[in-house]
Amino acid sequence: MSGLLDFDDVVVTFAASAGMMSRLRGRTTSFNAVDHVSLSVARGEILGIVGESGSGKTTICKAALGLHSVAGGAVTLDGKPARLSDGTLQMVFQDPLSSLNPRQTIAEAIAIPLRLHGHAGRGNMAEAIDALLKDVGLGAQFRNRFPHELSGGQLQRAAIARALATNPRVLFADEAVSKLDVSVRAQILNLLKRLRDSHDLTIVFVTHDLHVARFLCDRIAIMYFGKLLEFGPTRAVYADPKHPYTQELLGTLDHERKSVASTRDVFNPLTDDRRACRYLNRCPHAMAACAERHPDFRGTGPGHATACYLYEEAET
Amino acid sequence: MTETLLEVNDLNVAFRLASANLTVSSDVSFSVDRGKVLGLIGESGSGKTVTSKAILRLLPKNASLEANAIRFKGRDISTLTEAEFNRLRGTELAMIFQDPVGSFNPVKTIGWHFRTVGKLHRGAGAPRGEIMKEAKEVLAKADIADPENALRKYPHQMSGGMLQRCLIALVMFSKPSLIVADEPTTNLDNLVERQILDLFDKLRRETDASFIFITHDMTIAEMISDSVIVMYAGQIVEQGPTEALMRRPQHPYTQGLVRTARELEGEVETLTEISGEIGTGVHPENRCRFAPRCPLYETACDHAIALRPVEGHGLVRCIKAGQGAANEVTP
Repeated sequence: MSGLLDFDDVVVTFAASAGMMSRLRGRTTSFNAVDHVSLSVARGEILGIVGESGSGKTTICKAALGLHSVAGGAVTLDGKPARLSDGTLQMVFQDPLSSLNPRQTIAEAIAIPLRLHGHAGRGNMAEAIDALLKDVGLGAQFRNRFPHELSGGQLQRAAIARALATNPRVLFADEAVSKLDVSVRAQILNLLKRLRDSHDLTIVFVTHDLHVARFLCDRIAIMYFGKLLEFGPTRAVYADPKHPYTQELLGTLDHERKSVASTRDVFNPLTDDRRACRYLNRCPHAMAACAERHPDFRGTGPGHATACYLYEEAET
Repeated sequence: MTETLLEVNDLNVAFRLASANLTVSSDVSFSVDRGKVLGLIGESGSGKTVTSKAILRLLPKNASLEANAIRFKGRDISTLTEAEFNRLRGTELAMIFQDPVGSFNPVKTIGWHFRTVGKLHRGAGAPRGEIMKEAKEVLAKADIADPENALRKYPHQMSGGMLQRCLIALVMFSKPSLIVADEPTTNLDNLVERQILDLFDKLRRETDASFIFITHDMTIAEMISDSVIVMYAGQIVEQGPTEALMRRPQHPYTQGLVRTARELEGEVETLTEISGEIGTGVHPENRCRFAPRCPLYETACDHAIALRPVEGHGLVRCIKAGQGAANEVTP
């Protein structure tokens, strides 16, 4: 399996603070926010990473960008370790206002990466900035404005323009539309789709919004407490979810159906057995094997696979 | 037979700022029937939260409020003194906020909150055992599996979903007649959000309380409310029964919102956009506030547009409303 961007058995470990007594008893106080995840992102696709808070969906992106150190495994771009300094990987954050410097004009914010990466010099800086603004649907009148003078949608466009300044190959968008007003959300979603085509971009889109994921993404990866539970083409996953968690999650889209969501406790990474399946506590199909070992991936259709003992392991 | 619980007449809220007086809610009128859920839809800056906080008198000091009348159970509560109003707030009128964590005192147990509310509303001499017994009952109704245990816990020991259930239980504990819920599921994960919506659905069937449910999400409003108000830039632009409004929205803004929601539920290549963004600051009085973004704009829209009844629908603030099939949104 090799795509443009490959996550190979990636582990990101966080230390958790614990009381003195448990430290004296020698109990472990760290957990894997991303726990042995392998995932391949193909060139030109929009991959959606879907999960709840604490699922590791943001952490795995930050690990790819070097914003978290990787405790195990590797992230590779074109088969080589990703070089973090050359701007081929970029990220757009949830809150555009806090990701732009309030004392810099939009033009200044975009000029810095352009200059640092040598994509524009003194002579052609103005044109380069205008071209980027145009790409994201902002007029040249926004060049000399400060972030507080822009609305939410305009800010997110500016943040995207700045990310595009380094000519990235992969753009990570972390909940990039969830803070935006509903009527503006459609604009930014359409923009991301357009940019993928016009800029030969590959996009990793992190979201908890199942409707948005279905609209935007070619493929979906479902994460839960650090584990990847299912991945496949968006259409296949939505039409025929395999993992019991995915089934429960997508069941929330069906308004007619009575909610079946269990109110039992979710997995606790500090006290529960980490060898077990993360979904064990809440799974209606739990079996003896689930408590012993987190299941490996098994294929359930073309490009569609899930980590669940309910399905036969493919013979290889 | 329906009975009107709350009636708001021409509510205006303005904020005094250093530079100007900013009107954030203009001429808002609506009513809520007993036992019904009113969905209040709008984006940030639409005035939906300010409107509901005005009813509960929870606005900051620099806000000025004017209303012809705010009638609750037939009595005008806009003229009550602060002391009189305090007796209503919490017991008769209650609010559930978006952030459950911020709604609890972090150094006190859940049980302490129930005891405090119990004493406040039932008098200092109310027997503690009785209060705690009732607290357990109401927690169980809010789908808390082990109420005994929950009462002993501190807010930080609970998940966001559990805490939101506790907050809902705490509000229901005083048996208020009107509950304003301000985006109570926005900070929650999908599964928990669905559970909390189901809980609201259960509560509205099991109690005769009325709800004002504030949301920016059309789909949620459709799920939970009997009637809907859509606000834009401080004004009501459309109001009516949920089903009719979702099927045949009349205002171009509502049409855009419903269309986007429907498109996201189905499978489309490109979403229909509402161009531009909601304006901030002062809106010109002599023009429809949606005009800069409206696909149907014409010069006739350049005057103040009134909210008017449209045959077969509710009230709509658009000169073009009711002009037949052109307004249909096909799912």
